[in-house]
Amino acid sequence: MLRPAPVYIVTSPNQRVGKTLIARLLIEFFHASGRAVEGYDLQSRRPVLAERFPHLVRSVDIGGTRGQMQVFDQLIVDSTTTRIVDFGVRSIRSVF
Amino acid sequence: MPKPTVILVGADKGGVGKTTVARTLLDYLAAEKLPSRAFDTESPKGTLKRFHPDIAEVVDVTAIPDQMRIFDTVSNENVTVIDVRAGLLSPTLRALRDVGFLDSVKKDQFGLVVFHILGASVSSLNEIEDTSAFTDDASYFLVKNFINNTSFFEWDQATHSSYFKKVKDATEVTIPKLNEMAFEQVELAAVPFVRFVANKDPNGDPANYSFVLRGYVRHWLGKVWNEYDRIKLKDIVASGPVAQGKSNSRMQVVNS
Repeated sequence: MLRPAPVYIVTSPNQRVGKTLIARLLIEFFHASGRAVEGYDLQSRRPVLAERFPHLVRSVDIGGTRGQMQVFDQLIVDSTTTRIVDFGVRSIRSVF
Repeated sequence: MPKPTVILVGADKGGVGKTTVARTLLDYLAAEKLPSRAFDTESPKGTLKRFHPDIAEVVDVTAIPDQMRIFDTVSNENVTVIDVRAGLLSPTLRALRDVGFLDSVKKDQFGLVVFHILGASVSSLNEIEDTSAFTDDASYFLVKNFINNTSFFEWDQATHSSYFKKVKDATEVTIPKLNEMAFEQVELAAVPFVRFVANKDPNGDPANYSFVLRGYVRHWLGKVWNEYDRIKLKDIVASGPVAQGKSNSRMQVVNS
């Protein structure tokens, strides 16, 4: 039986420190390795990650219940697909 | 043996959330292991019964045979919760006076708790005076159920005080607002709040409810039960007179 793949949450309390860059590198690494990967772009400004990987990354607004369900209802499900979450500063503040 | 207690949950207006409050009470009593039964007065179809089919019976509280069904058997159970149909709270209390039940409460043979669910309207608040005429020997709670963004006139202290401070022995209870999507999913699931949090379907089998929405319900129900702790509801129904000192009950909401 395959072990569930991990969830990577990329975040920082500060802006412009390279969160999206790290998230992008992770996605490219797993994708290049032939492993299943998907992402969630929670940046409340421009969803750069979702624009870079339109087939792999979903842009989600977690300010509302629907967006929260789209992300967190999926993250708790065991999956063999690696998940990367790019958590923007504003999203972190509203969630935590 | 605790004296039998009747909890009336009612309002003279519809749509204020009586059945929602009744549901939270039934979950609280079950979590505190207090044997209870319930009567759903939305005859003939019922509303409370949809969520608690095992312990709720649908009755017509205006019909004498059903009044007998309820009040002739109060002694058999620890707690009887009655979800009173809109517009029938005062008539029900009047009937309880007429059949001598309020006298029995006065003699400490039974306990009576009235949860009066208020709407954010002057006409709803005006009902407080009518209802309070019957609650001298009861535990009388004025319930502000925040089903929307109303403030119950808290921004106008004079108006707020004129209603909420008028009845000396009435205690305010606040039911916070539940996330709308979470409320709707519980409606669709037709299970008690506790069972929804536990991710179980009506048969007790694993369900597939949203983790997020279950979290909202768990957090909200915890706040509601903290209110019931604050007003020492467990002490009222378990031992009769309100006990002195702080209630130690801490409910464990079942997690999946």
